[in-house]
Parts: sequence; C-alpha cells; structure tokens
Amino acid sequence: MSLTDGKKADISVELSGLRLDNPIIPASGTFGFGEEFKELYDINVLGSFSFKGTTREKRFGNPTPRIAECTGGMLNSVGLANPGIDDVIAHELPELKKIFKKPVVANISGFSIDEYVYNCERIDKEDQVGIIEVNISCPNVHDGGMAFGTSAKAAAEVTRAVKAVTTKPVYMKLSPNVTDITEIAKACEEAGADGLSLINTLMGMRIDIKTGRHILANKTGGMSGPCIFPLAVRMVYQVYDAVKIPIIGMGGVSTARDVIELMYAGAAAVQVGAANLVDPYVCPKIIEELPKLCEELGIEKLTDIIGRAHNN
Amino acid sequence: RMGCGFGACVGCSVKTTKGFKKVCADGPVFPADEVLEEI
Repeated sequence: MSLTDGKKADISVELSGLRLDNPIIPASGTFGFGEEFKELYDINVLGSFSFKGTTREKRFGNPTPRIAECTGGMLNSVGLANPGIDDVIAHELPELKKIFKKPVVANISGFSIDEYVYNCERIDKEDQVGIIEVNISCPNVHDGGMAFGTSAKAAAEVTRAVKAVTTKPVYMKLSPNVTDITEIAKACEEAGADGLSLINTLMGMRIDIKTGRHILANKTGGMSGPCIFPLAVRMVYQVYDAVKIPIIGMGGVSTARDVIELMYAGAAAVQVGAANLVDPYVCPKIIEELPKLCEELGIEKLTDIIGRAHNN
Repeated sequence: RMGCGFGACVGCSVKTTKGFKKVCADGPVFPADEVLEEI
C-alpha cells in the first residue's frame, strides 16, 4: 500500500488546541531542560519536550547508584533531582527560550497538594509552557509522586487543586503500578483534567549476585525501555476506552513503528524516554522516518489512526 | 552507574563542595577534597 499521487503524509498532531509539528515529545527526566541535547541536534525538530520533574525545593535526589540495567531496558531511582522551581523559572526557562522556539511541557512534581499547587501557580505564569504535566507517578520518592497516583481519590484531589490555579491545559501523568489504571484515569477526568500522560515507570529491583546486595541504593527503581512497551500499549488502550480526554502515550517507545502502534491504541502524541539514553539521536531519527512509514502503511494523516485499534 | 553518559539524565550525580556535579560531564575525576561522599 502507499499514498496516491505521491502525497506526503501529514504527521502533525494536536493536544488541547496546541498544534505540534509531530507527535514526538522526549519524556521528562530523559531530556533535562534541553541543554545537553541542543549540542547534538536542533531540538526544534521535536513536537515538544517535557522537562525534568520540578519540585518546590532544589533536590539532589536519591543516593547513588541510582541507575541499573536489565534486559530490554533499565531502572532508575534518581528521585526527582532538579534545581527547584525558583531556579527553573529564573534560569532554566529563560535559557530554554533562547534555544527552543515551541511550547514546552512543564513536568511538575510534589510531595503534598500544597506543593503541587504552589508549583503550578508559578509555572502558570510562564509563557513558553504549553501544557502542565502533573507527575503523580514517580515511584522513587516517599509520600510524593506515586502516592498520589495510586489512589483515585488522591489523584482527583491533586487534579482539582491544580486546575483551580492555572488556565493552561493540565495533563495528569499516571502510574502503571496500580491494579486498574482506568479507575485513576476516570477520577482525573471527572476532576477536570484536560488530558492524561501514561505510563510512568514500573517498580522494579536488581540484586547483585556476587554480593547479594541491591544494585540501587534506593533498593527499588522505575523500569523503562522496550521491555515495558506492551504494558504501555495495553494501558493506553484501556484508558482510551475509559475516558474522552486526549492521551499522551509513552513507555518503551524507540522506533517510528512503536509510535504508530501506540497511536492505534489511543495515543494522541507519544513521549520517548529511555531510548534517548541509548541513542541520543533517536527522536530526530523517528521524526524523519515517520512520514515514510505512514506512506508505506497508507496513512495520509497521522491523526486519522488515533484509537483506530478500537474499531477491530 | 551511568544512564546516558552525557549529562542529560542526572543519574550519576555526586555532591561536591562546589555543588551537585555529574560524573559523566563534570568528571569522571574530581579533586578528593571537593567530593562530599561518605565512603
């Protein structure tokens, strides 16, 4: 199959009124604030990117080692190491404006409803932020992040509290470490979320067989990479069935084919995370390959395929 | 243990007298008296 008349596939997408040139968004934590990647390629080729999870206070994060590997992926227990919201607003965002000319996704994390509200209130005033992605799914911090994302009630509470202090689109980033992610998803939608981002990392552990000790100082860490991709496909599919709001899908995406697959499951845009650590050029490569792959598959407009697996 | 090896993922951070540094980008060698790690 291929497109008629030598037409070029349209790979632009749209999220809550924000038009993106393509669906590719580097995931939070794998792209910093763009400083390192700008040395490798023009980051303006990206649809957007999600910057490092930002908390009220500056954080070193968890003790090292906080990276481990596994077959088909990796574990991290970085624990929201970030310069703190004051620094992000005073320094990182102005620097970003010089190198990235598109709206950015602000990933906001917290340890209390108050903190989420404080951070979102402040980030709401930043022009370049197009979407606020609320991280209620970090598995590496005690009482924060995932603690909110594993309870539908808590997730709804955070959603409501954040929506009250910003006019920007609010996307809740969900944890897969739950029995039924659709329950959390529906609660967020009911509480007013404009969209959802899923999945965050899966809780895992590695033990060194020479010493019998944990590889990660934090003992557990979040697993990511291609080994979790089918889990991401399943959960995006399930959530698409359960809610009407748009879904940014992620979890082990590393190729243009993965992007198409996740969009069939229901993703309106796609984040690429761990793959950036393996091949820093993965995103521009996917962006270049997508139109060709669409043409091969007879897809004229990428948005046509969103959720199309549900028709079968 | 490093994640990306070029400073983007903040996996290999170390506390120093001059703030948080990354072993991959700012190191891998640091003056011993600057490193604030417990051995």
